[in-house]
Amino acid sequence: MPDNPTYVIETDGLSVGYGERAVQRGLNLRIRRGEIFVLLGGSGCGKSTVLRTLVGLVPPLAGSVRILGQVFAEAGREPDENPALLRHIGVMFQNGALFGSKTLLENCALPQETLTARTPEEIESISREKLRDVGLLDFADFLPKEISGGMQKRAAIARALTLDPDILFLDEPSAGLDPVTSAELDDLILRIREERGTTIVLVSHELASIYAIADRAVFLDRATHSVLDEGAPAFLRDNSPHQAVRAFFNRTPERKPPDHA
Amino acid sequence: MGERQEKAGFLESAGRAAVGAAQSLRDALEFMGRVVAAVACGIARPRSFKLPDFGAVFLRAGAEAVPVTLLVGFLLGFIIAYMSATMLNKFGAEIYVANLIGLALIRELGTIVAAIVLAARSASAFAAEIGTMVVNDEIAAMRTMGIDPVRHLALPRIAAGALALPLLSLFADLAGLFGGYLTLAIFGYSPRIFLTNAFAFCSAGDLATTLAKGVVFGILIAATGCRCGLETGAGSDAVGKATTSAVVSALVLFIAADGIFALVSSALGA
Repeated sequence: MPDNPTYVIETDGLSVGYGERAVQRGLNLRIRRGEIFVLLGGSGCGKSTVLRTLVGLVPPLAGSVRILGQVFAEAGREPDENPALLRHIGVMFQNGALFGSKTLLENCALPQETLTARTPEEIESISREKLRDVGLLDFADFLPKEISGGMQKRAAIARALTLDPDILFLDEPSAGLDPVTSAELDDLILRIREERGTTIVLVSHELASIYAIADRAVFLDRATHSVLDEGAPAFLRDNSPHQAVRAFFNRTPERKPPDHA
Repeated sequence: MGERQEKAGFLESAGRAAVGAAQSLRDALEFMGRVVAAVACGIARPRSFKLPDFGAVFLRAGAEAVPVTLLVGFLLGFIIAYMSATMLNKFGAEIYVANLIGLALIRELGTIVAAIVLAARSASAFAAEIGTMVVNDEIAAMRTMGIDPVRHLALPRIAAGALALPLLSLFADLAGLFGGYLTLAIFGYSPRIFLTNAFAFCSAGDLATTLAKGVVFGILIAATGCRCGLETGAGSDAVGKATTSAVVSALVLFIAADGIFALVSSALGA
């Protein structure tokens, strides 16, 4: 099925934004199968918008997104919510986005009911298996509001895994979590990749987490609306020719020239 | 110069308002188209219709609205009857209050009372519930799972509105008639005389029209609440705006639809 099995996600001249305002332009990303790939950048550079465009929620302003070799989103075309390709992706949103009126088990059942022909018994069995994988089997009958923020994120990952996707998209998985919970989530992400070979694309600000899990990262620049640099996080930190990239990794504020108006 | 600028400003505002209204109408029609598609899909695949969701919404929008509908219907019947009776009593014609109340409630007011209750309670609730789901990315999550929010969220609510409003209209009619009777009881009329006069000018066709109006208004009100919820924007005040917009739009829409019903009834000589 894929044209090029090496790359599971390819973007060509992708511009993303809302209305007519582009926040990132001309993105040519190539994400390999089984890779953990991070979208980096300062606040407001458009990381989450890029992620939302990759998963088909925001139509591209220009260019296209190919998933597993097939065009998934294209400028001038409304996202068609192609079920055949949706079956291959799982998404975890920043706050988990679990359905508040449904238990964790029901949350995990919903995508399977829509996108698969599994029987109710199979759906329940798979939902329980995924909840066990993320350590939440004992909370299967809890509502999202009855568990902590970190548990909600793990439950959202379990829901995203119920279709055994080839690609998992995670929007700021560590945001708002304490360091221990954040490290546990990193371990879970690494385990998912090791056990299933899942390609993982995530948006993150958390340096400790990025160093722990990322194979490769792109740094999106707010000022130029484009990719500033790309590579392994440690390599970027030590070798990037761009001050903004080094400043991000070394947590040093960028010095702006004083305004002598 | 200043006057010309003021005129240009007024024309620009009027133009923008007209474009905004046309856009809203287009969005509303597009949404209704998606609802019709979802209904067709539901008919083709009946198992995809979430009966438990429908039951829960019907309970909240319908059964839980009965007490307030009864209260408002009763008060409306009592007040109209009392004010009319005070005037007609001077001519010894207070018994005609029963005819007035029967006709007004069954043809118009019962459905209007129930529709106002549904718009205030349920259109706002639907917009707030779905709007909060938009803000929390739950709707985005649904889309990435191939779940159509219109079919999954709006359809059970619209079906509940379509079924609840005719029933609430009947409750409002009964409560209003009781309020009207209490007034006439003060003047010494028996329940039998009241009921005979109340239904003297009403036909089975009037009741059928009331029920049909209830179904149409129920669909309009519930669909408006769902549409406003799904169109919720970003930011902390977005859900509040969606809720307000849902109630105002639902009220305007069902009153406009009532006007169309009145014109059609008049043209058909009903």
